[in-house]
Amino acid sequence: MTDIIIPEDMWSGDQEGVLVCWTFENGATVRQGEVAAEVALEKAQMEICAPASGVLRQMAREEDVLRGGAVIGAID
Amino acid sequence: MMDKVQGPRVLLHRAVRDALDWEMAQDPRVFVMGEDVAVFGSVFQVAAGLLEKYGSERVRDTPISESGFISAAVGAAMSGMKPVVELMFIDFVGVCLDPIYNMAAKNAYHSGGAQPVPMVIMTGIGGGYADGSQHSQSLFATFAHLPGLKVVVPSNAYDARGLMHAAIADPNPVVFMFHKKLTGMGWFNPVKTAAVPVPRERYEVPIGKAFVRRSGTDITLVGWSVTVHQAMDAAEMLARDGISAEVIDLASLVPMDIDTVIESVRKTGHLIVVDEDYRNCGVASEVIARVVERDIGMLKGPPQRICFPDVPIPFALNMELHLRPDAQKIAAEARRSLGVAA
Repeated sequence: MTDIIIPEDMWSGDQEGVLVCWTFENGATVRQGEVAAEVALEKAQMEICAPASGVLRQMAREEDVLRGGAVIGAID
Repeated sequence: MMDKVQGPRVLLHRAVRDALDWEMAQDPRVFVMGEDVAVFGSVFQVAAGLLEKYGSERVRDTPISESGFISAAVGAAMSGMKPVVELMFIDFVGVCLDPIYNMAAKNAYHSGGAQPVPMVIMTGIGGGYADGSQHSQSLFATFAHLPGLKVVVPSNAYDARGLMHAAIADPNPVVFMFHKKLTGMGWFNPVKTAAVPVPRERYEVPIGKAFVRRSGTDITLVGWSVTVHQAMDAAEMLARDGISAEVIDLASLVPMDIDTVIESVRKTGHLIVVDEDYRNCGVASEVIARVVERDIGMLKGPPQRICFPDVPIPFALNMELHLRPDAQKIAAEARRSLGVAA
């Protein structure tokens, strides 16, 4: 199992971002490097890529507030 | 076709970026220019990552001077380049209309076809997220009215990618209008149904072709860009009342595929056109005019428009949404047209 983590350095300090969307359904098969989610910090928006190949397990929901280092899901 | 593609949902702004990436990789004449398109990748992220890949000669940040960089793009296109220039918000076109409608749109004609202007103006349109009167307009009719420009208005990521490839390949100036609420950018509270699977390989969606998004027999709902999604929601509401609505997505305004609309109206006899732009002298009026010019006898009742009323767009969200087209207004008008009680 590999966690899907918001990188600590994606934004600075204790700023809060938002999970905009998942691009795959929960339980879908994804390949390493494919875009799995998008997160926004104010008007900036970043892609979160799958860190491994396998079955996507979503742990955060769309519109959840996130901090750097948050685990939003896992690849089983 | 869109329905056959499998895979993850692609957000519309990423689909546009993928089209630009593909075209820039294949053709050194293609370059991107505009406010904040390089380091920031555009406020809509339609150019994200292109600076790192192609460098600052081909991905160029400009000063806040639309008249300057739009004029520069027109000159570059006349000189053999293929610029894709971002006019961040369509509302800003007032200061740079001259190079667009007096030069880009006309130069192929002025030169007897010897010097076309193969440029794409990509621009964010529309409102519904409380951005006030100067950042919420669509101005479809303004551009559709000016001869020499093609105008495309994708409603989803698949069409956005395919229309951008087609726009760059086209020797004419193309205005590529993407609705901010369809981009998938979080701060616009995006319309989720605009994100659809998109092929990896290059494909074109032909400019000037409309699409039937939902088949029906009782009434024809015509939309483009964001109003397609509103019409689809309205069709779902109407289906619960036993009304079968057909939804057509124009996808291109110039040239306009009126034959697909007429084929539908021949079947249903009723027509509602949903246009987020102002009502007076709008594209909705043009659609209805072309239908009745062809054959008024196929209509069983007067065709109707649902548009933004002819006032500047209010800043307050509750006032703005009161005036914008939406699924409830479309469904109510459809019931009224068909003489069905709600």
